[in-house]
Amino acid sequence: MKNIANILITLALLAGTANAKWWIFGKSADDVEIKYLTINSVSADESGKKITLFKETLQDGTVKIKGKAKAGKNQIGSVRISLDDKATWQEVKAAENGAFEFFFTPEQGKKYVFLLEATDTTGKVNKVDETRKEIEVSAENIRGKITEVLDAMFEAYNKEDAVRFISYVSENFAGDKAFLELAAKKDFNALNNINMRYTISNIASGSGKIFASITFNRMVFVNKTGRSSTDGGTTEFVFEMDGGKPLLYSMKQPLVFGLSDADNVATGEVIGNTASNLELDETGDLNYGTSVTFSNPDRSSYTRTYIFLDGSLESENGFATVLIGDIGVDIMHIWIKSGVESKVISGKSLSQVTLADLTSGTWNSTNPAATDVSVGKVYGFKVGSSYYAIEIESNNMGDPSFIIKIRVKSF
Amino acid sequence: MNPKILLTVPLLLLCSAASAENDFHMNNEFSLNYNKVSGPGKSASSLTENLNYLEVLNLNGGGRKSGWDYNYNLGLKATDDERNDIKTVLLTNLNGVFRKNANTVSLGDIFESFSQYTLATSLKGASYKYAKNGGRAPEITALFGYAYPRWDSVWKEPLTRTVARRAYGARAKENFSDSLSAGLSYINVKDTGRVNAADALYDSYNLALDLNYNPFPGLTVAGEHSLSDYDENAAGVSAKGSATRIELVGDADPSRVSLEYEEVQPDFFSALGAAVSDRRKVKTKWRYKYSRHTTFNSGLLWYRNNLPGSSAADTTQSWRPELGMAVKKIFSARPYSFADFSYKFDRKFGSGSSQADHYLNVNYRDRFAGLDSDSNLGYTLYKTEADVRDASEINFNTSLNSRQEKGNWVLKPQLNLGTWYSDDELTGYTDKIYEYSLGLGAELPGKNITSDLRLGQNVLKKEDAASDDSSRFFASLGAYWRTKIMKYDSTVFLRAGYNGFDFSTSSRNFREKTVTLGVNTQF
Repeated sequence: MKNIANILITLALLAGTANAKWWIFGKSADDVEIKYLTINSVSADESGKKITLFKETLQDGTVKIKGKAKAGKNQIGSVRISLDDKATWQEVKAAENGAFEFFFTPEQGKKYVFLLEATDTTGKVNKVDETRKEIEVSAENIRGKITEVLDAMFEAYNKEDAVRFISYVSENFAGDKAFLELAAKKDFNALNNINMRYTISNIASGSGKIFASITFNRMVFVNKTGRSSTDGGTTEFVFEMDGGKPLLYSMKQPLVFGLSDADNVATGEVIGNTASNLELDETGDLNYGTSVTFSNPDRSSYTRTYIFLDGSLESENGFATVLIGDIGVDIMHIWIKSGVESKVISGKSLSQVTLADLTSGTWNSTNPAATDVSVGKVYGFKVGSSYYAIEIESNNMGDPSFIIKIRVKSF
Repeated sequence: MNPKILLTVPLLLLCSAASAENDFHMNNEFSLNYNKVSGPGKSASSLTENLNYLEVLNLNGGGRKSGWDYNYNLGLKATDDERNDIKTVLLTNLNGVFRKNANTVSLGDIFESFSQYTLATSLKGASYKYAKNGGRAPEITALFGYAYPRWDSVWKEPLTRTVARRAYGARAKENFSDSLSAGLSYINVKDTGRVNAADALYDSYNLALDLNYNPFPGLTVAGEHSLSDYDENAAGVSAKGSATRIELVGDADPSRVSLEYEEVQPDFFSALGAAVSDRRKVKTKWRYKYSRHTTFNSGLLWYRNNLPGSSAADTTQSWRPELGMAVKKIFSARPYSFADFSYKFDRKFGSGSSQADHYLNVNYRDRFAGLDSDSNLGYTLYKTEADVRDASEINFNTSLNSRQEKGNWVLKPQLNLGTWYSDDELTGYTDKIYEYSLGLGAELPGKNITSDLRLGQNVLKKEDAASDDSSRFFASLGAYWRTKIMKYDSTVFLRAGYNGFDFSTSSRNFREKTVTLGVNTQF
């Protein structure tokens, strides 16, 4: 595959030296043309006719216009810029090769109609109207703009409107826009009654990008099972500006969008989240929590125990002995270590358990913590200041050996 | 550096700056929210019951003192609803920026985006940037800070305490010519202060070279190569890796062509950048404007994992070709008619799994006698072997919108209808969703009042008798009045909503009622 990289590099170098512009036809070699033009580092080719800038994203509070004019065999004689739709013109010093730079300090809220005129030494002029751009420094705070975009993204996602949602994602999206688009469509097919809300915790801007940290909570219905699930947490987004509109550039785990392809959509993880967050598996079902298998070939000689924090399974000598792990399991009991507390959670599946179910009500510290290890039973555990819940997924009721599967969710 | 200094220094500088005030803005939003949840299944609700408040305050300003231009930003949030935040009162933003000539110093919340693989997150700390307009002097940035997600993590609040991730780094960017620029970035990250015994602690650095080249108008070549070296002491892992991406974009009518290649080694690690490790990706896109009204889109995405190729069984490859066409004025007699068609194929195989999904989508928009219509028909075929998923889905949505002026009122009625049909070959079950909603937007432009009323129902019908059918009836009202309160621009808003969830198992039924009254003031 390194060959592909080599081919790309070669193509790039060849493109730089080639005279033929392989996708542009019909231009005369003697025309005066603008070889390149950037407005605050964004190519004029890629910006729309209207450019909205935000005060927070301007370096030194100035708008920087850089470019280069070219006139075939002739030299560029002069370059002029108008910021008021041709009413007045300002001469710009151009180098011999036609390169020029221009800076101006815009007033907030004022609209500037930009035009560029380059004239060669024979008097030929570029197509001035093709350089027309409306530049405005928004009076709006960047925070307001990000709030507007996040509101629109959450609303589109809640309404399962994939087209509208994806319109707020940048072509440069770090996890790849194609992955996110398909993942969002899979989310919408797998989920129903999506109800997500957020509040902004932090917004910072710099180097042309904007960072946003949010606290979110959500409730969804899973079509495959008809069950509801809730979760919440803190996550981060990065936006980049495109034609005055912030577009999503990257997202971190825990994900709020694109749950069906978390591996490819998320780039990085917000530290400090301890809760199990929702993900969708390839069948369209929730892939929440961790599946743990307790396999004990001799249940009378030792107990299979589990530590919530690092997910380690241990074998301890003796029946119903829990010294190393937080909990121990056999076919009819769940045992707890000294200091661990437990409770029964009735009438709920694990996907429906919320932190409120665990922080309210009474806890027990007696052993055995449970005497019913049948499929579907849900139990909560408090270890120090951390909360966990488990659901029994399968129990082969083997005696003297057994295999029991549970699903664990942390909060 | 004691992390508390991160808070103290910006606060002192902010106070000092405020003493020479000449530009000050405030945005404050206060809302009271009342939620009532009832019914036997009420514990499934994600709302916090009873009366709660949310207060969000942002102060920002700027000015000039001793030759330095400065800006500052301070944000506070207060709430008693854990769904809004786990803390009752918190500092959300704190940032000061000081500029003099080519020098910029930022304190508090700093966001310096070095490059994709090195730094793309916010830090709490300080940065310095030297950037001179004109000339060939390089742009230099240096920073130091902590990647705490919240300010209260800085002073180690038990509820929000996290691993302390300290970072420092620098970036130099040089414009070598009018069309070629390159940047060299270095970032060093060290985690300290484990919160849980199993927390992974990284000690790492990333070094990256990125470039941008515009050989002639319309063609951009951009790329980045990054090296990483990390130690992770919980699992005792040390590794070095690299990541490379190259992108060519040709953009000039009638075509826009892009070609992208990315390779991220499995051992590449970026603590503060944005990278998906163990991935080789090639992506092409071609947009072609065939005529003023017709545009074609095509693309191909290929990627694979398991780059060392240690075992063919662990390798997953994916192909995603797509083709689309959009036509404006598809019927010449109908000036508002617009149609687009897209087909996407998602083929993934390896690691004992084989998946082939097809996505077909047709959209048609038009205007009939003052009514805007937008209809979408989608067909999806999922096939994942062996016996993981074999299903087909059809979804159809249509909406009708209108805008009517009646005296001083502007009315915007809306009707949405939707259906979703899923046939699962493996289980033999067919599931159906029906959705409808009616909306009415009402505006009084002369009085600066806007409002939106919506009501509707979603019904999920499950063929599997072991799964519940469900339905949700909803109604919502939002009303906004822009006015002046004590001379300041303000918006008073009222939002009310009702959700009624009903299931085949009636013990799961519940109702949510919510009312929010708030005011936003800014100057």
